[in-house]
Amino acid sequence: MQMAERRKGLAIRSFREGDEEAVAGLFNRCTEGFSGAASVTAESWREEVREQSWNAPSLDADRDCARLAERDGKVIGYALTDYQPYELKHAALVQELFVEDVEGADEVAAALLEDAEKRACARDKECVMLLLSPEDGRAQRVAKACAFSEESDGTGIFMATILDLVAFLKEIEEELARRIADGGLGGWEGTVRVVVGEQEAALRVRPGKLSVEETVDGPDVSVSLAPEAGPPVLFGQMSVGEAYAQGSLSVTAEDRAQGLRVVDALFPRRPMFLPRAQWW
Amino acid sequence: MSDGDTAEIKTRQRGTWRRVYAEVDESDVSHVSYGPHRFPLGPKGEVRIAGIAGVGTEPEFRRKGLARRVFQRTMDDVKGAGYSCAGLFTSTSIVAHRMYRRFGYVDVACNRPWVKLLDPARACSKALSGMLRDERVAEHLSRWQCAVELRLSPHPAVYAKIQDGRVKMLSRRPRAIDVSVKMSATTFMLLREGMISVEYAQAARLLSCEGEAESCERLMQAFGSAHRVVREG
Repeated sequence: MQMAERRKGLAIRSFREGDEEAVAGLFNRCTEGFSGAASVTAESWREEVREQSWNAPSLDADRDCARLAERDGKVIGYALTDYQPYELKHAALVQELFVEDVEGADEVAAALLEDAEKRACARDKECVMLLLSPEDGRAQRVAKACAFSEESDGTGIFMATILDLVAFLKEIEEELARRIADGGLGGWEGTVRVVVGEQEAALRVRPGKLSVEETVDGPDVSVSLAPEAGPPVLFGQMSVGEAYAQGSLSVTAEDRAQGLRVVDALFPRRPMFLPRAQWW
Repeated sequence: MSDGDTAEIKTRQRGTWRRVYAEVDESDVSHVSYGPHRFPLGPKGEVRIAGIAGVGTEPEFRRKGLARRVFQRTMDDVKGAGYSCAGLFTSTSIVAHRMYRRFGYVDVACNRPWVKLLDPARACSKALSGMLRDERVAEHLSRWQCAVELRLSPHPAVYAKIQDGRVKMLSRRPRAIDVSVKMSATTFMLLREGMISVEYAQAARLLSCEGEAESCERLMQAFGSAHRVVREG
């Protein structure tokens, strides 16, 4: 299919009052599989972009900051662009670029990017910067096709520390139970000791149930993480296999293969996207 | 005793944010803020994370242990407030990154911007002209002549002639090139925006400058001035 054909019926327009619902829905659907992006409501999304702040443009001042792609009267994508980003004098910053999983989605994303480029040019900007999750293959493919280049050395980073391992795991107790069930271990029963540096916690797993405790005697599985591997593994940015290969993780269990399956299921690698409007 | 030992550490609440700061002569000279944030880790779980931000120390109060004291107090408060974890956004190229590591913070995820220069020749012309206008290097470079090749990948090379403190972009490659600078378009923009220093870019091998030694040195000085102007401005 030719480009013109693929873009047939596609209209790109500026944000209008009442679009919040469609935009928030798109944001939530597109970030669903990613850690780090908190789901939004129409109201909370609107609140994030009400006033120009260091991490978001102001839609009240400039409706062009959000451009929506529409086909047959339905919003199928949007780009949120800050034309006066904090500390960036010469750049326009596309901080959210989301398109529904529809036919020709890449072309819709490309059209939104081209639109942002034109608007950046008109505002005398020298470049367009695009914030993508390093784990969003589709968005990266579009960026490459539109002649964007990625820096091989990332200087901007998110750092984290675990202050209380037991409390941390308790907060995600229900999620851990889901992971066990979805990992095909719904019928498994046993205890897991989790050690990160000098902190320790225990998980008691019963069919359909998981509880976090401070300690456990004679665990069935024991996983020990070096301090530098704790946050990346617990935040899903390093797989158990990667940590093991780096010598930062060890698993002991009577049935080692089963033990590894349990640990793999509990701490899977998940893509992460940290929307700039939600940075602090 | 230094200010690092004697400054009073205070706190104040503003909305959901708490600011921890060191006060010297009734002035806030070093500070950190934190507030609660939701951090989803899956369809059925999210943690309440202490978002650390606004870390800064007035230049004359740096290297006195003050930032460390303020940060220590912040971490004590965050633990006392019942947070199970804390997180912050920073850059590997700043000094504070080392301090965060000492407090147990670990790099979790990278934010890598994708960049597209809209008109590489125009961007280079503006960047070079701006650098040459900086009074700290202008005098030094006023009688300098140099033919420069700038390769900002993935864009094709652009050429410029620097003479008498002025920049002229060339439509073709000149017969002789004095300096050839190679970097990605992203590195160029990060330098231009003052987000990284020339020293960092060179150490991280993000930038290479080849050619006549003195010209290379002068050009790198000019690039460095852009970083200082942004940081000090």
